[in-house]
Amino acid sequence: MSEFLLEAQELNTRYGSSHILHGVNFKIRYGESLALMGRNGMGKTTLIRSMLGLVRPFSGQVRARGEDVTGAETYRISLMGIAYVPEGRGIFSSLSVKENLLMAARPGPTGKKDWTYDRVLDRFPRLAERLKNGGNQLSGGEQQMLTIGRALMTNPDLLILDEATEGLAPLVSREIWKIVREIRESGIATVVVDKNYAALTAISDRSVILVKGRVVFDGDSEALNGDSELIAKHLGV
Amino acid sequence: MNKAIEIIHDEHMALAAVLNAMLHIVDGIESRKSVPDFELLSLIVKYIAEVPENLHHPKEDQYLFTFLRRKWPASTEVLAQLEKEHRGGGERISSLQSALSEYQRLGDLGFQKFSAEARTFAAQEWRHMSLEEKKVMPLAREYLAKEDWNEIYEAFTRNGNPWQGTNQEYDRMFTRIVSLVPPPLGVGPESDTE
Ligand SMILES: Nc1ncnc2c1ncn2[C@@H]1O[C@H](COP(=O)(O)OP(=O)(O)O)[C@@H](O)[C@H]1O
Ligand SMILES: [Fe+2]
Ligand SMILES: [Fe+2]
Ligand SMILES: [Mg+2]
Repeated sequence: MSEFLLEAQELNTRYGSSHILHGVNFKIRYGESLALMGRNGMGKTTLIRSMLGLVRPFSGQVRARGEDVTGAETYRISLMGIAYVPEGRGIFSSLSVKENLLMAARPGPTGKKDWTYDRVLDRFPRLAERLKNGGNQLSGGEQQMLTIGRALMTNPDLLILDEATEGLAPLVSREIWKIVREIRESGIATVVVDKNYAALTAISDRSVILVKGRVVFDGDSEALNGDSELIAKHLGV
Repeated sequence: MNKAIEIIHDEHMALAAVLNAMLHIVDGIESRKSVPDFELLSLIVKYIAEVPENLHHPKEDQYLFTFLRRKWPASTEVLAQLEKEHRGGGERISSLQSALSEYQRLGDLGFQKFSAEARTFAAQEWRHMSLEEKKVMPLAREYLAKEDWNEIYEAFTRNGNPWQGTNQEYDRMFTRIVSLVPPPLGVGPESDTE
């Protein structure tokens, strides 16, 4: 078994004629929590999409649980225990909250069934009150809870959260960070993208910074947090 | 980041978010956009009464402030003021609590008093936390050594630590508050007067 749950080697991705990712190397171990950082437009979402089969890299390799999945179908990759909460959430708006959750339900790739429908509702009490509502009737915070809940229903080993708290008020954002922390503590690996770098480095073991489609930092989150020069240079804060 | 500071900072953020939610609710009632939800208001007041007292101030008084004073005696004055404010916390919160029970008992007649108490309370807490964040934390970062921070963090997370056991209870309370506060601040039901 590979030491890595998901890895990208020398990934190059284009949109049309624009070359976006330039030889990106990226790895995440079982149980590890990783912060993926970089200013807007630096290629974070493209990297995630390239690894999950949502866009096909023109060169390089993606491996999940040691197996080559370069350009494989997204659904197949998700069955390997990799759940994805995209930026802008991706709720099925014509389905109810309950349907959104139930259609995702399945044991993880190793048979793990930690997250059941009841447990998700217990963790997200607000969703329990919205079961019959359609996805399109939910507020931003409720949608984010629903997408995270839906991802957990697949009993993943890795949860990827793109723009975890974008557009959410501080009260709800904090609740989301709290949930991410619990997910992490339960042993699920996490890759989180967010603009709140302080919160991000606080809940991650390792940070990766992308600048114009290249990895410029890959190291300990604690070290990064102490390095205000590096943060200013690459993240502009 | 420095994990001990991170814990203090996170508790400040949580408290600030809850205070902010309280003021948002008060504004909503004042502008007649919403009707009071006393279950939520009581929960919020309970949170801001118990969390600082049981979870947060002990970390500052017994550890952060104690270490800082030892390492940098010139901080005594500002720390004395903050400690005094901690000691006055009980009194401030009990005026807020009684204004809330009056409001619940009297209805509209009790609103003015409650909203004034809520605003005063929040403003005092903001000022207090901002002094800690802007003045005390930078000094602490500067004057405390890595070993001090390790010791503080170790104390914050030690098993059997009186403020640890209650953590989960307050986490659940926070989740409950978030799920009751109306949007856009929380994910609770729209609260309108229609
Ligand atoms: N579907 C697309 N077609 C063309 N260009 C795109 C597309 N999606 C993103 N881009 C471009 O690719 C670059 C990286 O975008 P993205 O991966 O979304 O960055 P990030 O997630 O770091 O903000 C940006 O310059 C963006 O404009
Ligand atoms: Fe304090
Ligand atoms: Fe404080
Ligand atoms: Mg993006």
